[in-house]
Amino acid sequence: MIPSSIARRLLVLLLPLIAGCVSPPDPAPIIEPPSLGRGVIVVNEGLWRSDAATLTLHNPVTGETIQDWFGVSNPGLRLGDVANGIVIHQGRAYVVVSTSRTVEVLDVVTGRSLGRIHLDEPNELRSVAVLDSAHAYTVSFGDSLFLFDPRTFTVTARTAVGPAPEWVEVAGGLVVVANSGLGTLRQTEPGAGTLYLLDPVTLHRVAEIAVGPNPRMVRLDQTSGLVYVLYGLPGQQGGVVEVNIAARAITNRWTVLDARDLALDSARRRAYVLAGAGVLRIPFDGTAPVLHIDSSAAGAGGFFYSIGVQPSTGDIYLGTTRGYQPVAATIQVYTLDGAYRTGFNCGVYPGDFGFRE
Amino acid sequence: MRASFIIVSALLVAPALYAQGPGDSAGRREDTLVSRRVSSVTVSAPRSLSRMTRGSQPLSIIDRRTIDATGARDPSDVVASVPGAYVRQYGGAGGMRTVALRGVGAEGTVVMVDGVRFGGTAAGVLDFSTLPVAMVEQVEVVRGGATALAGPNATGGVVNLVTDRRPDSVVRLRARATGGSFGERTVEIGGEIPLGEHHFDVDAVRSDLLGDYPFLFNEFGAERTVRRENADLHLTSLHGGWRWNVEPGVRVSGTLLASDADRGVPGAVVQGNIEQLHARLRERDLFATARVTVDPDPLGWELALSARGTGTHYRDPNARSAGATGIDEEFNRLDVAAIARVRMLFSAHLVADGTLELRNERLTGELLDPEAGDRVERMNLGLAGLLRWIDADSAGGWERSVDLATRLDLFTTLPSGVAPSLGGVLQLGQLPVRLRARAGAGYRAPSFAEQYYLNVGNTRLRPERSVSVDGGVTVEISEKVGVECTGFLGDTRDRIVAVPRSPVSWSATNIGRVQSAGVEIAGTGQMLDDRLALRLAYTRSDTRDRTPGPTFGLLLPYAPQELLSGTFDAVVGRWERGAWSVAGGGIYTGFRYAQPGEDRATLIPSALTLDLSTRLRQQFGAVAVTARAECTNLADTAYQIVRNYPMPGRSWRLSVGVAWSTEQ
Repeated sequence: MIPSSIARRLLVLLLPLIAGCVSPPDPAPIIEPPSLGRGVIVVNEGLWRSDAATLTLHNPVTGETIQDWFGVSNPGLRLGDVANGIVIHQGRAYVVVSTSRTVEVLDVVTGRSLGRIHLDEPNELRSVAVLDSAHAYTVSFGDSLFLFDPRTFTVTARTAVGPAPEWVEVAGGLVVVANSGLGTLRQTEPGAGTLYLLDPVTLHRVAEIAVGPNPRMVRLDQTSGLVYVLYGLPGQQGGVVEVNIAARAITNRWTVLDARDLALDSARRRAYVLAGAGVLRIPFDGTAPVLHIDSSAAGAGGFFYSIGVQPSTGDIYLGTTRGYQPVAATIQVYTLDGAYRTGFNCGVYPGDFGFRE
Repeated sequence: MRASFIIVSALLVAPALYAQGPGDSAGRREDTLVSRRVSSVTVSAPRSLSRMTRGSQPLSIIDRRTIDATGARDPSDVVASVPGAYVRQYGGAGGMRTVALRGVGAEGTVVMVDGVRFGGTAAGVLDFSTLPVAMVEQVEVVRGGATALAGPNATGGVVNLVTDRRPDSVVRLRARATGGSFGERTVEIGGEIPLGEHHFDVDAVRSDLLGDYPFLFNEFGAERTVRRENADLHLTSLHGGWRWNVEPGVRVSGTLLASDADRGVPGAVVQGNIEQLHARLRERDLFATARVTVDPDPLGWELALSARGTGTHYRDPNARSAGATGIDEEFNRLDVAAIARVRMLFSAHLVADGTLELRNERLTGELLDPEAGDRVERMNLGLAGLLRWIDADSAGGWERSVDLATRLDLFTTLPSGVAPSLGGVLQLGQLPVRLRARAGAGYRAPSFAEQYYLNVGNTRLRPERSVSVDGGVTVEISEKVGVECTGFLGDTRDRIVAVPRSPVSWSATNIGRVQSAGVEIAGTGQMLDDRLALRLAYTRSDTRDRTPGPTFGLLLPYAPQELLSGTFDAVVGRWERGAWSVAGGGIYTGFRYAQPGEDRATLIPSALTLDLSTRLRQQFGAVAVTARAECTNLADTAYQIVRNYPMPGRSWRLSVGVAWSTEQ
């Protein structure tokens, strides 16, 4: 045996000294958010049930970027769980937070929260659209369309729509709802693969247009009043259909393999589809899609997750994951000719873009 | 936090100053904390892993006294006191609990019951929360990769639950009722009955709890107290054991474990949708083993059969992103294995073990990849050999031993794997110091979920490959006080990670690489005439992502760099046929991240929790009555183990037990 008195003293000295010796990193400094003027707001989904959705604000002129712009502008507030859409209307940004069942309304200049609509609804919200200062809409996987008043942040009406409504838009004085049918899961149910057109006040359905399997995004061309609908099953032929809401008719169709996301450039009369091959350019004149940015530009291990177009410049913003982990992603910015311009960091899974111009 | 830490550590360690010298009564433990003189090949209990590790690999053993002292509810509470062990708790008692060892995820921990695997390689991570600790007599933890010894997937280590009670001629019957905070009601009954050469033991547990504990939650800027909902658990468990001593050295035995758990799955707490209010999980589990053991020297052998069937039914009508009626999926798994072990003593210095294991696993379910159909299957043939050489100089006290082991596994749906291991032990003469070192390779076969689950599974997966090395020293301060220090390194390649393939699809892929390194320090002792028992464990480790990409070199999620635990059990008063004891302990978990990339927004702060209990035992003739009061999370610390899963604050349990024995 070694002298036990020495051993015991060593033991007593050793453990307390080593315990708790690893300090956590210092908390991030609290900064006053600068006013960045014009810029892009990136909606970062965050991981599901991690309550970690964020917004990234970026000024493309100065290159300044603010991460978690909402949190920085609203100390003590967090956006919620899985944000997946943004609409900017009359100085307000409406951010739909899916799992939290909220639509967060914030001042688009200061980022300060003006309030939120919290729906008493067990199913995830998917999208938001605004008609005017008194009428805004959101849809949920409970096959429902909600009308809410942005002035009072209250829901004023609810109606049933088709299976798995994934998008809502306002076009031609009507509310347009895309009923996806959740890919193949509900595609045999009545209403799957259609657009419902509804009265914006009474929410009565006035028409139904079949557009193809799994429609999940509707973008309005403000110039022509036409809407462009993204459809198709993952990994299969789908594409974009052009719909004249007033005429209740499909006026054009482009076929794209594995179509994932859609953005419009109304000023330059074109749309961009994010697909497995990369970004395809779709001229509104009806000619065939053209590969605009190859998917390899996402880099090794990365892929393009979302797409947005800055209306004034036509710059293309691509949410780009980095590697295989759910870590902070990057935004790649390309000119309208498809040349890489710049990039900046954002949050986890950038899903949508709002442009503050 | 650091100041409080030092105080707590000092309080826990201080009694060692008063430790007695060599004692005279307690049997020596078989774990690596107290060195074992192994001057010749010895045979330990066949259900114990000490026979497997041979002293060259760290092995922690927690006996019944310590289990009782910790007031453990399930075996993971016990494992939490072992160095290098990190127990992930998804909320209160009704939540899932998994055990990860040495920075390797919980999928790298193999769980055994009486030395037989509790499920094969395809089962995935084991949830400890449905295994009542009442049926466990001893918990053993092998730290570090042990594929060569325990089979595939033991890349982090092994947890062995010994349910087998030492057979003797005494009849024992026991019953206990427990009531506690948040609607806990538990009834346990059990007994041991010897009938000639046969010995039976049985335990039955029924536990119901609401799990409606309050927690503070900041929702949209307003902090308020919320009660956990849909966190209830209703669990019925049964354990039976039978042993027949046919003749000296020949035994036939059987074990049965059955459980039926029905619980709510509230999920992570998030704003606006605090709980999944209607998600439920029903799990039925039946595990049975039968074996024949023949132990005459020089050739011994054992034949074992094991079967485990599980049924899992998850439903959440609100999860309509999965379909019109939400999620309603059911899986049934069957796992059957035959194991033959042979043991040959060539001399007093050389022994060889050989194992042949044949296993069939199958799964039927609804949400499997369409290419796989509704049923998948895996066959596994394992061949393992171990050679041990030992040399002792009884005059000088020197002892040396070397273990060489190898295991080969062939799979029907996966590439094969080979896992060699080399270890050695050196006893330094008369000094109470023992050195050991070990290096080995291992592999983890992907689970059925990783291979076949709809939209995630990948049938082209390869097993993860790992290498682990450790070396340590054990110092026997006195016969009842020991200190152990172990350094370890680990490297895992082809780590299986769910990778986003597109915004709507993910896929499991062999892409990751993880390296870990650390030091484990543990101490244990019995002192003051065995009136005081202490255990301390400290782990300082560093587990980093080495996968090329943005997270290269950063800490892995849920891999705390520091873990400290300590328990004490003190007999405060003794009188004729009675005793009063006080026990307690604490666990400190260092900060860690919930997501890759060391994102501060996902940082989970460090936490220290303390528990305290007191027991009163009085014997009335052949009947012993025990009353116990327990307070967990004494300081009412608000903390989380897994992000967005708040843990309960201070809670209480009271129990009364009655035991009858023919032993006087």
